[in-house]
Amino acid sequence: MKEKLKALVVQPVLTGISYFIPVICMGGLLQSFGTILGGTGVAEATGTFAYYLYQGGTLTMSMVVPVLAAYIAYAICDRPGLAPGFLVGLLSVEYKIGFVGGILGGIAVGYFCKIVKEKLPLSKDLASLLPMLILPILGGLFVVLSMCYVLGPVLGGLQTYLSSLFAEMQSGSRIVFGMVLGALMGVDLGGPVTKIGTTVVNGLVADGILGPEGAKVCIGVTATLGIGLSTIISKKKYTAAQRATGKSAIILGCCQIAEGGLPILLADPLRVWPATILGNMVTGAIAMYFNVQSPVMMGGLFAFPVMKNVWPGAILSVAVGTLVTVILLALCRKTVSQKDPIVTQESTPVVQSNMQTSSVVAETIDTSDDLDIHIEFE
Amino acid sequence: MDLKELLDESCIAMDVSFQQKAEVLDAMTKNLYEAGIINDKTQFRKAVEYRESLSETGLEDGIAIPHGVHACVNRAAISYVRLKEPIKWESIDGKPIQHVFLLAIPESGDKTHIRMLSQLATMLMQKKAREALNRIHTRQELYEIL
Amino acid sequence: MNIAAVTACTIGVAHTYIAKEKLIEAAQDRGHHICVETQGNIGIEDELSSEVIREADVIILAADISVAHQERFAGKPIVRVSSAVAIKQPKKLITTIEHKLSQENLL
Repeated sequence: MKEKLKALVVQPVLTGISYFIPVICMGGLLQSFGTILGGTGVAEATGTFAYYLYQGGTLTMSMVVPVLAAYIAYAICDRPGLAPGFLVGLLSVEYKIGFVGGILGGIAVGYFCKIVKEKLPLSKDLASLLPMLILPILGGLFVVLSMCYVLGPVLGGLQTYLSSLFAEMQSGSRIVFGMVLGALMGVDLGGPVTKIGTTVVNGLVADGILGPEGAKVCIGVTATLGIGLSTIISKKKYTAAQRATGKSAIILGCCQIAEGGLPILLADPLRVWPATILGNMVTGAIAMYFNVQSPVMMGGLFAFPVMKNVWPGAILSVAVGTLVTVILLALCRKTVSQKDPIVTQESTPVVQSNMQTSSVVAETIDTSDDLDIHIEFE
Repeated sequence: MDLKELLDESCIAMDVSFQQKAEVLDAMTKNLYEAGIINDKTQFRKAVEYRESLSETGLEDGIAIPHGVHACVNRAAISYVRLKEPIKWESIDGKPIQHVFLLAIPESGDKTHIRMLSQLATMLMQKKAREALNRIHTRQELYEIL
Repeated sequence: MNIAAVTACTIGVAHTYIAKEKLIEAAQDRGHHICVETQGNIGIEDELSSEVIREADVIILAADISVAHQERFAGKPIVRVSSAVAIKQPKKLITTIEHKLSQENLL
């Protein structure tokens, strides 16, 4: 059962993730460069080089969920999944249900197209229409119906409900607020649950309340930076591919692009959540306690120069939160088996250069030398 | 459409004498150039040499299929040479080479023609085709095999 | 056993297909069932179906360049060799795989 679930659901999701990582990296880095060059007002500074960088980054980030959904569907049913998969992602962004919508929708449309492709009884004449006409029409209809009538309202409603809960909560003590914000942001690192918290926080900035935004910037750095550092400190708990992801997570984390930690979180959420959620809660609590304030929404460590109460508040909160994340990751994650299947073996067989023509030579080549091959097992 | 369309009559040479692989390839490149199939001898020859450097192009029973991909190739084509005496040439079974098919592959272009070059390679892996090659004497007979 | 293989060489015109012929010949010689996909200059041909991959006991990637769509083979035993191995030592390759798989009790 577990194996089956892995093949049917987890593998496609991992494929989707592997395709969206470069998109996130490009978008996040462009946004950060823009913010560094253009300062806090970069989003309004139309026509400047910094603005163009920032705009490119923002547009790239809007591709993340579509790419994720499309390649999940692609992993399930191959090419026919791409077009409806992208639509699923775009609608998820439209309905503000983000990653969750992209993943669920991508899986649903992937299997829908797979079933249509394999099970629909078609005459020979109609079969040729399948890839160009029938699959796109049915796939498109399925996406529109399922996203607009099922996933969108259900997940969207859930989000609205949680948002209102959160809004009521902010009358409580500042520290609890910071912890709740941290927990939300630790669940999906920039996804829809995060957005529940950050939407409220960003709204407060408009009202001139900058404390929660300061906490948000610090929290946004913590989990991803912690995950990145953990891949270096607890090497044995990560595969080679994850360690590579970890290095970029460090950079992305410092820039407050929390999504950089997602590949590792989504691969094994139950063992990563304790670290990201608790680490973030610690950061949130400390930042709120010291009343760290920020007038900017993005930038991570690079936003520190424009923030208030950076020392000790912001620095301490990020440092302690990150430390908690790293420690919890080391405790919760399992050691990766030593059979790390990252071996590419090229064997060099020996060719006998025999000028005497004889069919015996051909036979002996095959048994001449031992062939050193490796079989990779997952 | 079949393989014959790729093989210009001027690019076939029967029972010629060469000692060295390089000489054969030089002569065949020149043929392709004169037939208007490639428009740069040096560049194409380099492309062929690059392929030779990757791994042996000799197949089995004395047949070799050197090939080159380059923008200077106008269209997919084959040149064929049957040598009077087999010469030394790195091959799968270690035997010397008597039949040389030089494939000129355009960088982009008609997939069906490139597919045909691939079919030639597949065909030459069949023993029957190889034996037939050893029996022929004229260009006409070569066309018949293909 | 059931074998699924992908062949691909640098130029993608000749040796991709030669490797395919060689693998088929050697596998059938040993009484195995084999499907071979070619990733050549003209694209993918004889694409391995998901069913073939599911049924396969082993995946052979005989390639000098990176093989496209490798995610299809997740969870399968994979053997990576250069196309030259498939061309020059196909029988040895198949028998070595037989040997190794039986050692791992996968057959």
